[in-house]
Amino acid sequence: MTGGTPEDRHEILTKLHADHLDALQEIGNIGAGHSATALSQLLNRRVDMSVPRAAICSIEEFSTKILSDPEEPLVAVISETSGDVAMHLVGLFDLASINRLMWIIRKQKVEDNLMEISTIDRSFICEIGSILLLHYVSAITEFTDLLMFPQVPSIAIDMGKAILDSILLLNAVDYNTVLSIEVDIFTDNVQLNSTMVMLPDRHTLNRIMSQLFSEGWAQE
Amino acid sequence: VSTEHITAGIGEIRIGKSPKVLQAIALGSCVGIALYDPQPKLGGLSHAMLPLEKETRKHSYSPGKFVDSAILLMIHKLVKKGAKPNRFVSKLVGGARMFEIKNLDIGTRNVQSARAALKNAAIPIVAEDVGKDFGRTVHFYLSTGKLLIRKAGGSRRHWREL
Repeated sequence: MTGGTPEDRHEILTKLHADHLDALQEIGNIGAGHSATALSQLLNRRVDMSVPRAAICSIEEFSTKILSDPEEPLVAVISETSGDVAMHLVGLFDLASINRLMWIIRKQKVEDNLMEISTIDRSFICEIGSILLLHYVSAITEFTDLLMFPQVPSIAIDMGKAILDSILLLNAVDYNTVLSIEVDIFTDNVQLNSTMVMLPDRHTLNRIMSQLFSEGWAQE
Repeated sequence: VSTEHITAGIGEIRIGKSPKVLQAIALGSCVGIALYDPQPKLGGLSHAMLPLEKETRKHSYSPGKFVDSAILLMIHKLVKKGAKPNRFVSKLVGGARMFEIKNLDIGTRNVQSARAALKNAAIPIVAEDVGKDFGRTVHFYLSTGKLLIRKAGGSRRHWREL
Protein backbone atom coordinates (compact mmCIF):
# COMPACT_ATOMS: atom_id res chain seq x y z
CA MET A 1 0.00 0.00 0.00
CA THR A 2 1.31 3.45 -0.85
CA GLY A 3 0.29 6.81 0.54
CA GLY A 4 -3.05 7.76 2.03
CA THR A 5 -5.73 5.38 3.17
CA PRO A 6 -7.01 3.09 0.41
CA GLU A 7 -10.40 4.59 0.90
CA ASP A 8 -9.17 7.94 -0.40
CA ARG A 9 -7.76 6.55 -3.62
CA HIS A 10 -10.10 5.99 -6.54
CA GLU A 11 -12.92 6.90 -4.22
CA ILE A 12 -15.94 7.95 -6.18
CA LEU A 13 -17.04 10.42 -3.53
CA THR A 14 -13.78 12.37 -3.87
CA LYS A 15 -14.49 12.70 -7.60
CA LEU A 16 -17.72 14.57 -6.98
CA HIS A 17 -17.39 18.28 -7.73
CA ALA A 18 -19.86 21.08 -7.17
CA ASP A 19 -21.47 20.42 -10.56
CA HIS A 20 -22.00 16.78 -9.72
CA LEU A 21 -23.53 17.61 -6.36
CA ASP A 22 -25.82 20.11 -8.09
CA ALA A 23 -27.00 17.37 -10.41
CA LEU A 24 -27.65 15.05 -7.49
CA GLN A 25 -29.57 17.79 -5.72
CA GLU A 26 -31.64 18.19 -8.86
CA ILE A 27 -32.46 14.49 -8.71
CA GLY A 28 -33.55 14.95 -5.12
CA ASN A 29 -35.57 17.95 -6.19
CA ILE A 30 -37.41 16.06 -8.91
CA GLY A 31 -37.98 13.00 -6.74
CA ALA A 32 -39.24 14.92 -3.74
CA GLY A 33 -41.24 17.21 -6.01
CA HIS A 34 -43.30 14.26 -7.13
CA SER A 35 -43.65 13.05 -3.54
CA ALA A 36 -44.83 16.48 -2.49
CA THR A 37 -47.42 16.54 -5.28
CA ALA A 38 -48.68 13.14 -4.20
CA LEU A 39 -48.93 14.30 -0.59
CA SER A 40 -50.66 17.47 -1.66
CA GLN A 41 -53.32 15.49 -3.55
CA LEU A 42 -53.71 13.06 -0.69
CA LEU A 43 -54.25 15.84 1.86
CA ASN A 44 -55.86 18.30 -0.47
CA ARG A 45 -53.69 21.15 0.71
CA ARG A 46 -50.64 23.09 -0.26
CA VAL A 47 -47.33 21.28 0.24
CA ASP A 48 -43.92 22.97 -0.01
CA MET A 49 -40.43 21.65 -0.04
CA SER A 50 -36.96 22.83 0.91
CA VAL A 51 -33.94 23.20 -1.33
CA PRO A 52 -32.39 19.72 -1.48
CA ARG A 53 -29.10 19.05 0.25
CA ALA A 54 -26.61 16.63 -1.28
CA ALA A 55 -23.84 16.04 1.22
CA ILE A 56 -21.01 13.67 1.90
CA CYS A 57 -20.38 12.93 5.53
CA SER A 58 -18.94 10.27 7.79
CA ILE A 59 -21.14 7.50 9.09
CA GLU A 60 -20.82 8.91 12.62
CA GLU A 61 -22.01 12.35 11.51
CA PHE A 62 -24.95 11.18 9.45
CA SER A 63 -27.56 10.80 12.18
CA THR A 64 -26.48 13.90 14.13
CA LYS A 65 -26.90 15.92 10.95
CA ILE A 66 -30.56 14.91 10.65
CA LEU A 67 -31.64 14.50 14.28
CA SER A 68 -31.60 16.96 17.14
CA ASP A 69 -32.02 14.19 19.72
CA PRO A 70 -30.63 10.73 18.88
CA GLU A 71 -33.13 8.97 21.14
CA GLU A 72 -36.27 10.80 20.05
CA PRO A 73 -38.78 8.37 18.51
CA LEU A 74 -39.15 8.71 14.78
CA VAL A 75 -41.17 7.00 12.10
CA ALA A 76 -39.16 5.80 9.13
CA VAL A 77 -40.51 4.18 6.00
CA ILE A 78 -37.74 2.61 3.98
CA SER A 79 -37.66 1.14 0.52
CA GLU A 80 -34.81 -0.62 -1.18
CA THR A 81 -34.59 -0.51 -4.96
CA SER A 82 -32.99 -2.98 -7.31
CA GLY A 83 -32.37 -2.84 -11.07
CA ASP A 84 -29.90 -0.37 -12.61
CA VAL A 85 -30.15 1.69 -9.50
CA ALA A 86 -29.69 0.10 -6.10
CA MET A 87 -30.26 2.42 -3.21
CA HIS A 88 -32.18 3.05 -0.05
CA LEU A 89 -34.89 5.64 0.11
CA VAL A 90 -36.13 6.75 3.48
CA GLY A 91 -39.09 8.88 4.48
CA LEU A 92 -38.81 10.26 8.03
CA PHE A 93 -41.65 11.69 10.12
CA ASP A 94 -41.82 13.02 13.68
CA LEU A 95 -44.67 12.33 16.10
CA ALA A 96 -46.39 15.69 15.61
CA SER A 97 -46.45 15.21 11.85
CA ILE A 98 -47.79 11.69 12.09
CA ASN A 99 -50.57 12.91 14.37
CA ARG A 100 -51.41 15.72 12.00
CA LEU A 101 -51.47 13.29 9.09
CA MET A 102 -53.77 10.88 10.89
CA TRP A 103 -56.02 13.77 11.86
CA ILE A 104 -56.34 15.09 8.33
CA ILE A 105 -57.00 11.71 6.76
CA ARG A 106 -58.78 9.70 9.43
CA LYS A 107 -59.95 12.36 11.87
CA GLN A 108 -58.12 10.37 14.49
CA LYS A 109 -55.15 11.00 16.71
CA VAL A 110 -52.54 8.32 17.36
CA GLU A 111 -51.17 7.51 20.81
CA ASP A 112 -48.97 10.14 22.45
CA ASN A 113 -46.46 7.38 22.76
CA LEU A 114 -45.45 6.43 19.25
CA MET A 115 -44.23 3.08 20.51
CA GLU A 116 -47.78 2.06 21.44
CA ILE A 117 -49.28 2.77 18.05
CA SER A 118 -51.78 0.19 16.78
CA THR A 119 -50.99 -2.27 13.99
CA ILE A 120 -53.59 -0.67 11.75
CA ASP A 121 -52.17 2.82 12.22
CA ARG A 122 -48.74 1.41 11.65
CA SER A 123 -49.57 -0.12 8.30
CA PHE A 124 -51.60 2.96 7.37
CA ILE A 125 -48.57 5.19 7.94
CA CYS A 126 -46.38 2.73 6.07
CA GLU A 127 -48.78 3.00 3.14
CA ILE A 128 -48.57 6.78 3.07
CA GLY A 129 -44.79 6.63 3.27
CA SER A 130 -44.86 4.09 0.51
CA ILE A 131 -46.87 6.38 -1.77
CA LEU A 132 -44.33 9.17 -1.24
CA LEU A 133 -41.37 6.88 -1.88
CA LEU A 134 -42.86 5.33 -5.01
CA HIS A 135 -43.52 8.74 -6.53
CA TYR A 136 -39.96 9.69 -5.76
CA VAL A 137 -38.63 6.57 -7.45
CA SER A 138 -40.74 6.90 -10.58
CA ALA A 139 -39.63 10.52 -11.00
CA ILE A 140 -35.97 9.53 -10.87
CA THR A 141 -36.54 6.68 -13.29
CA GLU A 142 -38.05 9.10 -15.78
CA PHE A 143 -35.33 11.69 -15.32
CA THR A 144 -32.31 9.41 -15.51
CA ASP A 145 -33.73 6.74 -17.81
CA LEU A 146 -32.37 4.12 -15.42
CA LEU A 147 -34.45 1.19 -14.27
CA MET A 148 -35.40 1.01 -10.62
CA PHE A 149 -37.56 -1.62 -8.98
CA PRO A 150 -38.67 -0.56 -5.53
CA GLN A 151 -39.12 -3.38 -3.04
CA VAL A 152 -42.05 -3.53 -0.62
CA PRO A 153 -41.41 -0.79 1.94
CA SER A 154 -40.85 -1.49 5.58
CA ILE A 155 -41.65 0.71 8.57
CA ALA A 156 -39.74 1.27 11.78
CA ILE A 157 -40.83 3.35 14.74
CA ASP A 158 -37.96 3.79 17.14
CA MET A 159 -35.05 5.91 18.34
CA GLY A 160 -34.04 8.00 15.33
CA LYS A 161 -30.34 7.22 15.57
CA ALA A 162 -30.94 3.47 15.93
CA ILE A 163 -32.94 3.57 12.69
CA LEU A 164 -30.57 5.73 10.66
CA ASP A 165 -27.40 3.94 11.76
CA SER A 166 -28.97 0.59 10.89
CA ILE A 167 -29.82 1.77 7.38
CA LEU A 168 -26.22 2.79 6.76
CA LEU A 169 -24.80 -0.62 7.66
CA LEU A 170 -24.92 -2.08 4.17
CA ASN A 171 -22.92 0.76 2.69
CA ALA A 172 -20.58 0.73 5.64
CA VAL A 173 -18.94 -2.63 4.95
CA ASP A 174 -16.34 -1.02 2.73
CA TYR A 175 -16.59 2.69 3.49
CA ASN A 176 -16.70 5.16 6.32
CA THR A 177 -18.43 7.91 4.39
CA VAL A 178 -21.85 8.19 2.88
CA LEU A 179 -23.57 10.40 0.32
CA SER A 180 -27.09 11.46 1.18
CA ILE A 181 -29.55 13.64 -0.66
CA GLU A 182 -32.13 15.15 1.69
CA VAL A 183 -35.24 17.21 1.09
CA ASP A 184 -37.80 18.45 3.61
CA ILE A 185 -41.46 18.38 2.62
CA PHE A 186 -43.90 20.44 4.70
CA THR A 187 -47.40 21.88 4.61
CA ASP A 188 -47.85 25.65 4.54
CA ASN A 189 -47.96 26.14 8.28
CA VAL A 190 -45.30 23.53 9.02
CA GLN A 191 -47.60 21.21 10.89
CA LEU A 192 -46.52 18.33 8.80
CA ASN A 193 -42.86 17.71 8.23
CA SER A 194 -41.13 14.90 6.46
CA THR A 195 -37.56 14.41 5.35
CA MET A 196 -36.90 12.27 2.31
CA VAL A 197 -33.40 10.80 2.26
CA MET A 198 -31.85 9.06 -0.72
CA LEU A 199 -28.81 6.89 -0.10
CA PRO A 200 -27.27 5.53 -3.30
CA ASP A 201 -24.45 3.00 -3.05
CA ARG A 202 -21.12 3.56 -4.86
CA HIS A 203 -21.97 1.47 -7.88
CA THR A 204 -25.31 3.20 -8.29
CA LEU A 205 -23.75 6.61 -7.97
CA ASN A 206 -21.35 5.71 -10.77
CA ARG A 207 -24.28 4.64 -12.95
CA ILE A 208 -26.19 7.83 -12.29
CA MET A 209 -23.20 10.08 -12.88
CA SER A 210 -22.18 8.43 -16.14
CA GLN A 211 -25.77 8.62 -17.30
CA LEU A 212 -25.99 12.33 -16.56
CA PHE A 213 -22.50 13.44 -17.54
CA SER A 214 -21.68 10.75 -20.11
CA GLU A 215 -18.30 12.04 -21.33
CA GLY A 216 -17.51 14.24 -18.39
CA TRP A 217 -17.56 11.32 -16.00
CA ALA A 218 -14.74 8.79 -16.06
CA GLN A 219 -15.96 5.35 -15.03
CA GLU A 220 -14.09 3.80 -12.15
CA VAL B 1 -23.51 13.67 41.93
CA SER B 2 -23.07 13.38 38.20
CA THR B 3 -20.49 10.92 37.00
CA GLU B 4 -18.56 11.43 33.83
CA HIS B 5 -20.26 9.63 30.93
CA ILE B 6 -18.01 8.57 28.08
CA THR B 7 -19.78 7.83 24.81
CA ALA B 8 -18.74 5.07 22.46
CA GLY B 9 -19.99 6.42 19.14
CA ILE B 10 -20.74 4.16 16.22
CA GLY B 11 -17.62 2.10 15.36
CA GLU B 12 -15.81 3.22 18.52
CA ILE B 13 -14.33 1.50 21.56
CA ARG B 14 -14.11 3.26 24.93
CA ILE B 15 -12.39 1.96 28.01
CA GLY B 16 -12.27 3.30 31.54
CA LYS B 17 -12.04 2.66 35.23
CA SER B 18 -14.48 2.98 38.15
CA PRO B 19 -16.33 5.27 38.89
CA LYS B 20 -16.67 6.27 35.25
CA VAL B 21 -19.73 5.39 33.17
CA LEU B 22 -19.45 4.30 29.56
CA GLN B 23 -22.44 4.65 27.25
CA ALA B 24 -23.68 3.76 23.77
CA ILE B 25 -26.67 5.72 22.53
CA ALA B 26 -29.44 4.27 20.35
CA LEU B 27 -28.03 0.91 19.33
CA GLY B 28 -30.12 -0.50 16.48
CA SER B 29 -28.62 -3.39 14.55
CA CYS B 30 -25.30 -2.35 16.04
CA VAL B 31 -24.18 -4.38 19.00
CA GLY B 32 -22.77 -3.06 22.26
CA ILE B 33 -20.16 -5.34 23.81
CA ALA B 34 -19.27 -4.66 27.43
CA LEU B 35 -16.11 -6.24 28.84
CA TYR B 36 -15.34 -6.04 32.55
CA ASP B 37 -12.55 -7.05 34.89
CA PRO B 38 -14.13 -6.78 38.36
CA GLN B 39 -10.83 -6.79 40.25
CA PRO B 40 -9.43 -3.41 39.18
CA LYS B 41 -12.94 -2.35 38.05
CA LEU B 42 -11.71 -1.78 34.54
CA GLY B 43 -14.06 -2.07 31.62
CA GLY B 44 -14.62 -1.36 27.96
CA LEU B 45 -17.60 -0.75 25.72
CA SER B 46 -17.58 -1.31 21.97
CA HIS B 47 -20.29 0.01 19.61
CA ALA B 48 -19.67 -2.28 16.63
CA MET B 49 -21.60 -2.14 13.37
CA LEU B 50 -20.82 -5.20 11.29
CA PRO B 51 -20.10 -8.86 12.04
CA LEU B 52 -16.75 -9.71 10.46
CA GLU B 53 -13.71 -7.69 9.50
CA LYS B 54 -12.80 -10.03 6.65
CA GLU B 55 -16.01 -9.10 4.82
CA THR B 56 -14.67 -5.71 3.87
CA ARG B 57 -12.87 -5.39 0.54
CA LYS B 58 -11.11 -2.24 1.66
CA HIS B 59 -8.30 -2.39 4.12
CA SER B 60 -8.88 0.88 5.86
CA TYR B 61 -7.93 0.53 9.49
CA SER B 62 -11.17 0.75 11.41
CA PRO B 63 -11.19 -2.28 13.73
CA GLY B 64 -13.85 -0.77 15.99
CA LYS B 65 -16.40 -1.08 13.20
CA PHE B 66 -16.38 -4.87 13.09
CA VAL B 67 -17.51 -7.04 15.98
CA ASP B 68 -14.66 -9.56 15.81
CA SER B 69 -11.81 -7.07 15.47
CA ALA B 70 -13.40 -4.70 17.99
CA ILE B 71 -13.45 -7.42 20.66
CA LEU B 72 -9.80 -8.30 20.08
CA LEU B 73 -8.73 -4.67 20.18
CA MET B 74 -10.76 -4.00 23.32
CA ILE B 75 -9.16 -6.97 25.10
CA HIS B 76 -5.74 -5.68 24.07
CA LYS B 77 -6.48 -2.16 25.33
CA LEU B 78 -7.77 -3.40 28.68
CA VAL B 79 -4.86 -5.79 29.22
CA LYS B 80 -2.48 -2.91 28.56
CA LYS B 81 -4.20 -1.01 31.38
CA GLY B 82 -3.71 -3.91 33.76
CA ALA B 83 -6.76 -6.13 33.30
CA LYS B 84 -6.34 -9.93 33.43
CA PRO B 85 -8.00 -11.86 30.57
CA ASN B 86 -9.01 -14.77 32.82
CA ARG B 87 -11.09 -12.41 34.98
CA PHE B 88 -13.04 -10.88 32.09
CA VAL B 89 -16.81 -11.16 31.92
CA SER B 90 -18.91 -9.79 29.08
CA LYS B 91 -22.44 -8.59 28.37
CA LEU B 92 -24.13 -8.03 25.02
CA VAL B 93 -26.74 -5.41 24.12
CA GLY B 94 -28.44 -4.51 20.84
CA GLY B 95 -28.29 -6.37 17.56
CA ALA B 96 -31.94 -5.65 16.83
CA ARG B 97 -33.71 -6.20 13.55
CA MET B 98 -34.96 -2.70 12.81
CA PHE B 99 -36.62 -3.42 9.46
CA GLU B 100 -38.33 -6.36 7.88
CA ILE B 101 -36.08 -6.09 4.86
CA LYS B 102 -34.14 -9.32 4.55
CA ASN B 103 -30.75 -7.82 3.77
CA LEU B 104 -30.95 -5.55 6.75
CA ASP B 105 -30.93 -8.29 9.37
CA ILE B 106 -27.36 -7.63 10.31
CA GLY B 107 -28.31 -7.42 13.98
CA THR B 108 -28.63 -11.18 14.36
CA ARG B 109 -25.33 -11.77 12.62
CA ASN B 110 -23.64 -9.17 14.81
CA VAL B 111 -24.78 -10.99 17.93
CA GLN B 112 -23.66 -14.38 16.58
CA SER B 113 -20.29 -12.96 15.66
CA ALA B 114 -19.88 -11.46 19.14
CA ARG B 115 -20.73 -14.78 20.81
CA ALA B 116 -18.21 -16.61 18.62
CA ALA B 117 -15.41 -14.09 19.18
CA LEU B 118 -15.96 -14.09 22.95
CA LYS B 119 -16.00 -17.88 23.00
CA ASN B 120 -12.69 -17.91 21.11
CA ALA B 121 -11.23 -15.58 23.68
CA ALA B 122 -12.65 -17.79 26.47
CA ILE B 123 -14.63 -14.88 27.94
CA PRO B 124 -17.98 -15.83 29.48
CA ILE B 125 -21.10 -13.90 28.48
CA VAL B 126 -22.92 -13.33 31.77
CA ALA B 127 -25.93 -11.42 30.41
CA GLU B 128 -27.59 -10.45 27.14
CA ASP B 129 -30.33 -8.09 26.00
CA VAL B 130 -30.24 -8.64 22.26
CA GLY B 131 -32.35 -9.08 19.13
CA LYS B 132 -36.06 -8.21 18.80
CA ASP B 133 -37.05 -5.14 16.81
CA PHE B 134 -36.23 -2.10 18.92
CA GLY B 135 -33.29 0.19 19.61
CA ARG B 136 -31.55 0.43 22.96
CA THR B 137 -29.40 2.90 24.87
CA VAL B 138 -26.97 1.40 27.37
CA HIS B 139 -25.04 2.84 30.31
CA PHE B 140 -22.18 0.75 31.71
CA TYR B 141 -21.30 1.46 35.35
CA LEU B 142 -17.66 0.61 35.90
CA SER B 143 -18.03 0.84 39.68
CA THR B 144 -20.30 -2.23 39.70
CA GLY B 145 -20.08 -3.79 36.23
CA LYS B 146 -23.85 -3.31 35.89
CA LEU B 147 -25.60 -2.13 32.75
CA LEU B 148 -28.70 0.05 32.60
CA ILE B 149 -30.71 -0.22 29.39
CA ARG B 150 -33.65 1.72 28.02
CA LYS B 151 -35.84 1.52 24.94
CA ALA B 152 -37.35 4.31 22.84
CA GLY B 153 -40.50 6.10 23.93
CA GLY B 154 -42.30 6.01 27.25
CA SER B 155 -40.68 7.56 30.25
CA ARG B 156 -37.06 8.38 29.89
CA ARG B 157 -36.61 7.16 33.46
CA HIS B 158 -37.52 3.60 32.67
CA TRP B 159 -34.24 1.73 32.92
CA ARG B 160 -33.76 -2.00 33.04
CA GLU B 161 -30.79 -3.42 34.92
CA LEU B 162 -28.62 -6.09 33.34
